[in-house]
Amino acid sequence: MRRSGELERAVMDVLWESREPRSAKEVLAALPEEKLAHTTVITVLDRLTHKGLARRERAGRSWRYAPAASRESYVSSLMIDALGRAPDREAVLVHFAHAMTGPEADALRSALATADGAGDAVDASGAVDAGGADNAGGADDADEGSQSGDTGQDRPTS
Amino acid sequence: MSHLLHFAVLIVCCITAVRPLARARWVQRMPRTALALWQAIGLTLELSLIGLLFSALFAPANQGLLPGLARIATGSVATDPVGLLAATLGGLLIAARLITLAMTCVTTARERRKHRDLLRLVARADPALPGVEILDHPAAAAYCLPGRDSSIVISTGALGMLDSAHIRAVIAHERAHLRQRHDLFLLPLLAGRRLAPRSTALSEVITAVRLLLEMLADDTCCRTRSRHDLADALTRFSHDPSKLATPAGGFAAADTGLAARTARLLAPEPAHSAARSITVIAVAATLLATPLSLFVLPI
Repeated sequence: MRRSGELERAVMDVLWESREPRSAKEVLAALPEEKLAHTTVITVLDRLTHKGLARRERAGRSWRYAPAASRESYVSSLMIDALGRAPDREAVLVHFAHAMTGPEADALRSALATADGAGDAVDASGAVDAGGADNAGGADDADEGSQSGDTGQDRPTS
Repeated sequence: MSHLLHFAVLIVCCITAVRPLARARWVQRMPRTALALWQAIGLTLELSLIGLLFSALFAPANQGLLPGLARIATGSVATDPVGLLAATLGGLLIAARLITLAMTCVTTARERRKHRDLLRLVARADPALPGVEILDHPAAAAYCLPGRDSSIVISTGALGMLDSAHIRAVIAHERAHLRQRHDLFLLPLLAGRRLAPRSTALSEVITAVRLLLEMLADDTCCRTRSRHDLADALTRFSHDPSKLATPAGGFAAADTGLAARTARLLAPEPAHSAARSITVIAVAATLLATPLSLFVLPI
């Protein structure tokens, strides 16, 4: 399990680093590890696609793969998980303290309203960047507003 | 009739105990014992409710529930419609409880797996902090993901505002949550919310139990780490207390709990006497033993 997890991570790293979609062969060539079979890489790419972490498109007779979202947006969707207090998700993880501080946390809170998981996380990360700059001054208002919204409608589809 | 009465009295006892216990402060001096008491109350309440509904079937014979059920199964006793109706309700109650419990387990496991998949892709390890996943994000967050493949996660934002002693305390606290499987303790309560989503009493209980679990993890952490480091780390997470007071649904108390935890760490009250702990344990045991005995013994 751990082994395949490391491989997924290495493959995603390759996809994130390249600017355009890559074929399995190109991914294999870019991987630092040498002794991998072509089919192994295809299996990993398929699994990543199945999990919704990568996207693929036809290119001639083969597939080309690209990340479904940027690394930053995955990080912020994890942070949103860590921050979120939707009643149906409170069993998922245990916080050290039910608080996230700093202007970025406020931006994340406001991103809670729009973001819902990895698929939409691109928008979430955009909101984080924009909000982080804007909110530094009036963070308290943004915080209160989004905390009250927090209770009900933050995750409409889950 | 006496079975019915016993169960009814037990239910009333449990229900009247809930709010005072959820608001009590003495429990903070013995979180482990208090959690045992909560568990006993919860089990007693559920068993009594089921017992009450089923006992209508056996009221005339005054048998224990299980012998009574056995006699019904062999068809050697006549049943009245009211008793049957109540017993059906009891059966439905059991089914609903089990189904919601299973649903909560499944959704929780699925959400955790999703979170873990992403974590595996983007979190990094630091040789200085073995067993900790680090998320590169400027906001401060520290949490653990319970389960078979558990992990402790700290963001770079949190690392930036903590010293290494604080970080070790945070990790010890999270490790206590994971080792003692505090998530399993909460699970039946959170599943209960599917059956009673609007119950303020249940929300109060969940908040109180959560706080006790945090305090238990704090205590476990303080066996190997200094109280002051942990308290300091908590304070740094709540550098703006006015924000913590902002109510967020039923969970605001989780944040006011931050203040209670810090105060408790900085000025620990003397532990309760052993006699007091034993009394509480005895109450819990008696409470739980009553419905269980009613299930098997005739009166």
